[in-house]
Amino acid sequence: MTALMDIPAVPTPARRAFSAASAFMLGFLALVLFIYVCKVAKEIMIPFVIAFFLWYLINAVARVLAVPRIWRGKPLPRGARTVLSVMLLSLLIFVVGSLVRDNIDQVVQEAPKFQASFEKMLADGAQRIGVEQVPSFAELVNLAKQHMDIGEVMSGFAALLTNLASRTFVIVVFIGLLLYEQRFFAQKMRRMVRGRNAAAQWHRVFRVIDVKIQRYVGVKAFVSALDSFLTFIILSLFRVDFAVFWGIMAFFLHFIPYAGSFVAISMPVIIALIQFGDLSTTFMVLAVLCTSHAFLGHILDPYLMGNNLNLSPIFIITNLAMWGMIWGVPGMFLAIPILALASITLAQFKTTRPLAVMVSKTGELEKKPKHEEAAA
Amino acid sequence: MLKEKIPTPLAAADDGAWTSAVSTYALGFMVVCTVVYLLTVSAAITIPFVIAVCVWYLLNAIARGLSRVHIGGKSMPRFVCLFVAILFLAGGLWSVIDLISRSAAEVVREAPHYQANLEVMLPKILALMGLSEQVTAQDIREYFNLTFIITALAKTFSGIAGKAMVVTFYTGFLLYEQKFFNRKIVEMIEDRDTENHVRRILRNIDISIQHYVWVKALISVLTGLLVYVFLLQNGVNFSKFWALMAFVLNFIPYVGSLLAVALPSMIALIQFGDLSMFLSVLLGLSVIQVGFGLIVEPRMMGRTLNLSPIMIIFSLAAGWMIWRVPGLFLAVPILVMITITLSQFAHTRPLAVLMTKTGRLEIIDDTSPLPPVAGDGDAPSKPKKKATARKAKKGGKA
Repeated sequence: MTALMDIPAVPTPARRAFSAASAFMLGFLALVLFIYVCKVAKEIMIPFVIAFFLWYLINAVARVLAVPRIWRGKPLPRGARTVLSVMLLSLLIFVVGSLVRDNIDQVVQEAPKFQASFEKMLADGAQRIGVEQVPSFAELVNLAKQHMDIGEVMSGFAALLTNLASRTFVIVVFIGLLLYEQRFFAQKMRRMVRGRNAAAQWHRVFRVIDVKIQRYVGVKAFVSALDSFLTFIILSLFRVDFAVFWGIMAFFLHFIPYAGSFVAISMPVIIALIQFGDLSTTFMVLAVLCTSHAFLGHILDPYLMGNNLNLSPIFIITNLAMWGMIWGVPGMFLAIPILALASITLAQFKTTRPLAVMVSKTGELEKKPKHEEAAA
Repeated sequence: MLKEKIPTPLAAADDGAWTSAVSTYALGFMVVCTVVYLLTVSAAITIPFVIAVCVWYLLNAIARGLSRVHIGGKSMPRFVCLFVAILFLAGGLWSVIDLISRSAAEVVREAPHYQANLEVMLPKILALMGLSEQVTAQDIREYFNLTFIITALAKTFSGIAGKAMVVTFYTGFLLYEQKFFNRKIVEMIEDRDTENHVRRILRNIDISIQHYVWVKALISVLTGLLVYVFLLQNGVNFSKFWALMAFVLNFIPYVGSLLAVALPSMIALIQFGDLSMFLSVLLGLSVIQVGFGLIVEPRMMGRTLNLSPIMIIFSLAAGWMIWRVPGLFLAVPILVMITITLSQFAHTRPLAVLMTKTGRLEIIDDTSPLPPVAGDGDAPSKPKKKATARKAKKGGKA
């Protein structure tokens, strides 16, 4: 004991390396444990995370509502804006919800019919192409059936939406509490940090994070809504069945990069193929949908996001798989918002900045946070 | 949650302090998770013990209340107070259990009949609300599975009764050992300042929990009485049972009030088969619960409990995960204890602030000098000693 205490407390390089290593390892263990806790406590965590993002969306809309100067050059008061934004969003959700409700039944009912004609087409194609390999084609049809049970896919979506509805109550409670408590957050944070300087620094950091998350949530919601609308217009122009359903699905699928786009394009195209039985129309649908998705995903989205959130596709895919494993389908929808949130937050601290750089695509985290610029 | 992984202040990297901060936070998080896991795994043992601690705490609180009553200028001796408290609590519990078992048997008998009625009525109600899907009807049936809810409640009570033996043993030992607790603390800690700090924390916890329990009990009694009068007037079945339920459920924040409104309203709906009756019962009960929960209670709790509702909901979820129904009752008291303890150390104070609603730590901090303890050097008078022992020890385990 005494021998240990005699060593001067000056950190040597070796000592520093050791403590850094233990910090990283312990941090890693804690992170793994945290993810496990997320899995175990998913009944409460998923509604909370959804509520968190919706709360940001409400605030983002409330901020937009501040733009019109209603009376004597003054915007609406804050409380009124929040109420108005909640009302607008719930009206939107109500309309979308009733549309989904009207459409799901229809989709589920018609799914077996589509499945039947799909199977017939597959069999026809098999006969047309190959005369010799009949057994292997039978296997293929079987395989395709296993992987593309359309009825199951659609009722899976339907189940997801009903599941969402049953969680609505908890989500609404959380949103209400977040809105109620948010006026204390700044004050709370001030009291959490000792020392005026540190408090000011933290305040600035959280301000930056807050603005970025708000922009992220706002832009994503807007682009997804646009995607949903465009999909609906395109599909109804081509008179593809269930245009409303796929339009709404496109909104949700937009939050899943790559895989979501793939589903949002391929499913309507398959429907179109079965419905028209005509390759040229199907290709037209495919081409137009691809164009719209490419425009939204690669031009509009980066433009609006100010390119301040470039996430590495590799990390996006692995993160998607990870949250899919942890929370199932809801996890896949929340994966990228969570990754974005984490990367925005990690980028604000000197010690965690390397991690944020790691998950970025180009390694450039736009411009440096203001407080670091000032310090430089 | 992310906050836990952010290394402390921004530019603390100079002296490598952030590494130990990260390590400490990470280890703390892991220890908390491990403790929660252990409690979950050993629920069969910990639940009786925790209930015993609650009973023991209540006994001491009642005894203390009795010792303040002066008969002919003299207060009763302590053991008499305790004995009366035990009789008092046992009598109360006996009548409560009697009422519950009588009504519960009746409710359980009626439950299938009610359920059948409900299932007949459900399509009508759904049609009224404009919902027609099979899925939704199924969902609602799962949500309001009356037989399940009522038998779960009944089971909980009978489960508690079955554990009564173990609980009694634990309580007995706690009562026997409590006079040594304070001495133990004194002997365990060499440093006088630390000792005082620990004893002060325990006293603050004790005072806060007492305050919480008394205010809650008073409000629950009032709520129960009002619910009883209201249900009796409206002729809803089992009004006594529901009043008792309202009393008990009032100790569970949010969820309890919700159940205390929803269950009798459902019964009223099935019993009368009439929506207007259902709505009036629903409205009346809601007014009672909201009035007490949002208006009377905050006034009476004063500024002593400034806990964030979000944190309360999370602690309810954790309590349910760990101990199921007993966990719901203990969620807030345990959160209060944790918050007070965290607030007493400079490094954990930010976490305590995080638990509060407004960021203001409005916990009781009694800085008056602590009474001395026997064998501590400064020969105290005997009765004083005992009072101290009782106090500090109570706080320690509740």
